[in-house]
Amino acid sequence: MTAVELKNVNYKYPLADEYALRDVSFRFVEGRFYGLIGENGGGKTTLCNLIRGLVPHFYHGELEGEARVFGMDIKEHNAEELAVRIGYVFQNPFNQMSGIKSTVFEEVAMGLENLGVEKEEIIRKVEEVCHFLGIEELMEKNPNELSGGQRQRVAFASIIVMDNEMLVIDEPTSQLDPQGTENVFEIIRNLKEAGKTIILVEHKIDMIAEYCDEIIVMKEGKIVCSGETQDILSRMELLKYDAQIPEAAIWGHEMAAEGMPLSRIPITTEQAVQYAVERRQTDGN
Amino acid sequence: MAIEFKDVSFAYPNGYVANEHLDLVIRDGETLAIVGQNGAGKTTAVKLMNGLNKPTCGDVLVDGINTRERSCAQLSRTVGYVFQNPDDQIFNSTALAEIEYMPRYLKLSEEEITRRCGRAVELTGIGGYLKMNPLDIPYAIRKFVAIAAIIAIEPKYLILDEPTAGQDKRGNETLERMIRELSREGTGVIAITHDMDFVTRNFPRVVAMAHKNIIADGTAREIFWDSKTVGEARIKKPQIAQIAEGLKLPGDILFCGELTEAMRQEKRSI
Amino acid sequence: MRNEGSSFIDSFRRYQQFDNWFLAFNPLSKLNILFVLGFSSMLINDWRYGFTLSILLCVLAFAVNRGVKFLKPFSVIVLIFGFFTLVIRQFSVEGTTVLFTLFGILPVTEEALVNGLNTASYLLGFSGAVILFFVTTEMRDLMYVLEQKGMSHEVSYIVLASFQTIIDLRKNAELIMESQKARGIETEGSVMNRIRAFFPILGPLVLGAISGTEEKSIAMDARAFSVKCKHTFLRELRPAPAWEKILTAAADICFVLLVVYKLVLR
Repeated sequence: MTAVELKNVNYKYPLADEYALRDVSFRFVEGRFYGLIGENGGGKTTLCNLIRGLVPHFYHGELEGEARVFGMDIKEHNAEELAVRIGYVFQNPFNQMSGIKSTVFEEVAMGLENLGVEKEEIIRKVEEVCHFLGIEELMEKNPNELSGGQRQRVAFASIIVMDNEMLVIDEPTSQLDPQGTENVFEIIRNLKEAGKTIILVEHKIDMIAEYCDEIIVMKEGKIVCSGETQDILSRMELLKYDAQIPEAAIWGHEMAAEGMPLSRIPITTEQAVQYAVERRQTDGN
Repeated sequence: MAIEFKDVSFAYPNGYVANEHLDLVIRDGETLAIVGQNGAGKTTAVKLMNGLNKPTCGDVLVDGINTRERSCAQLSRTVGYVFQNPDDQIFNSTALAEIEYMPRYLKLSEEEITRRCGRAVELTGIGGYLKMNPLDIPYAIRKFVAIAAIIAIEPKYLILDEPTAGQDKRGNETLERMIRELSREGTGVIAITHDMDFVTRNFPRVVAMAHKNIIADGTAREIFWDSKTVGEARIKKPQIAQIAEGLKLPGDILFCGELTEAMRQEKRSI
Repeated sequence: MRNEGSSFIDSFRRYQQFDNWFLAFNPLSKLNILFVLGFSSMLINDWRYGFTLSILLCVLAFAVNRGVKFLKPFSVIVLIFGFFTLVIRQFSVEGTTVLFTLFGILPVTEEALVNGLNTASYLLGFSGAVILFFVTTEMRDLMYVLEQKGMSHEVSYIVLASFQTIIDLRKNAELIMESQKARGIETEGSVMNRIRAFFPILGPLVLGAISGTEEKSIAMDARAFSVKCKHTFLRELRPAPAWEKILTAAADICFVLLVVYKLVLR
């Protein structure tokens, strides 16, 4: 099933001279995990905004082409409802706390309160989500006094509790340390396993390589290439588009250039080790 | 001349101890990375270098001067510190005015101001943004505006807090070029970072911190191939080192070329 | 189910518990009674009533464990309003009955003293009532009852969030101050230094607050803030019991009688 379908979309922010999106066509399939990579200012966040309906409902500007979310034209969607159906987690953990709740439990519950969900149901769901994310020990704490990494997990909980079918996640780890980053990617992995459609913008290419199903590379408002993670992240030409590829892939190409090609270009540590071990065995025979 | 920590401890006014018994010498023109988990005391430690924090016990000497005897503003001519978030610093209406602010505050000559700003702009690669309002400049570039504003003071030591956060490939390249250039000219660069590939490529010396202390101080190779330090500081080995470890290759490999070479050696020996 | 025993989570299944009857008092009824008391001291305008009321409010504050919190702002009011009203009235009210002469030159008259005491006492009575309300009522509880009465949750959000905003602004200001010090701007010492440091600190503070607002509103929309439907309240207060309603009504009736009495007397 198609979650989002874009056909020849062009978009310009109000007062902007240049298009932020140029001739973007793409089909997002339900249950897939998409990694959105490329240079800053290349249109990644604008694409996220379009999918969530912030473009054109919040930012206005000029939108051309066809954008359908859940089978309906984006312009016809009720903006408030769309904002809830597609969950959103972003970079700054501080701006994602409501600032009006005094415990994490209540913070996480806020979205469901706003939807008028029955109280026992709220309590059940909030408990479930806190357990799912491993933040039970934070439940009674004040969300406004947590560390960045803790707040980011609470931000995830507050969105996931609303049981969105799709999540847009924009650079969730850029302010976190390696431990915090691991925690966030564990959460995203669990969401993927729960069958959610996920669109993730991220610079940490080794994490993208490990977790995503498909990659979309953007530059200057255009999708310059897209496809299966294994295929895309093993291409040296990505560097031309100012996108990064994993060190493992660079090494794979170097091995090939030095006359010791691996069976294929690795994109993760595990693959690199595995292919190199295979190479050793063939060399040994 | 150097920045010296002599058995330095620091506690916040509320009693929270953030650094304990730090001993460290950063020589002139040295390029150094500080790594470790959030909460390990990295930021507190660098704030001791420019006098934002004054030690609770022990002494910090900057080129022989005890930081207790100078205000942070005075020390800033010697030790420049770029905060993690550029928005805590930028307040002028154009990027150029922001960079010129300190040289003007210091009442330098017009020529000197032009020279310093020119150099700062060139190093940070923000030439195309000078006339723009900082608010309209993308966040990642804004970080370079904040760095340029400190470089224009021409401090002898430059501290960068998480410079790679949110940077793309091109941003990282600019940063690396800038650090190389500064250290060639003799400026000491001290960076706090979580990006271990960035550390491996640019910093000959690495200080690892964990639970308020310096737990290791050495080359990137020594730090990343000491599994005790890696575990304790909760840092992540660079990917090439992980692969070498997985293949049980000798030689404490960090770089692509080394890994390829090790594979070649192994092939020959078979 | 898991965690059935957690007293924290169970606290949402019941009405919220408070330490004593006054804290548990319905915020609107409490507001009503305290305002009526405050206005009554204004209408009666007699120092005997005003001071008695002030002392009673004070005693009540201590009885419900909010004594220290109450005295902090109240003592400031006593000093400022009380003292200055007495002094100023000595100059503005002409009196003939001289009680004693201060420093041998300033005559203190009975008329001016009584007038001053009356004014001071009603100001104290009124502000005491207001202070007592705010030190015994949580803002979120007041907003809860107001939302029940039909106030929009947008208003409630703005009021509650502004308290957190003040805390955040203070934290931010400290960080910005450090950042500006670190680049070499003197923020301490002479008045000139402080004036020169004003814009470098205020600028980022204001801009930061503005740019954060857009992100925050997007984040809140993702949590169904703008969806129009009936809300659930995880935290609930008990409905006002009969005795509270009777007490409130009695206070209101007394107040109306007092107003009528004052009007007729004129």
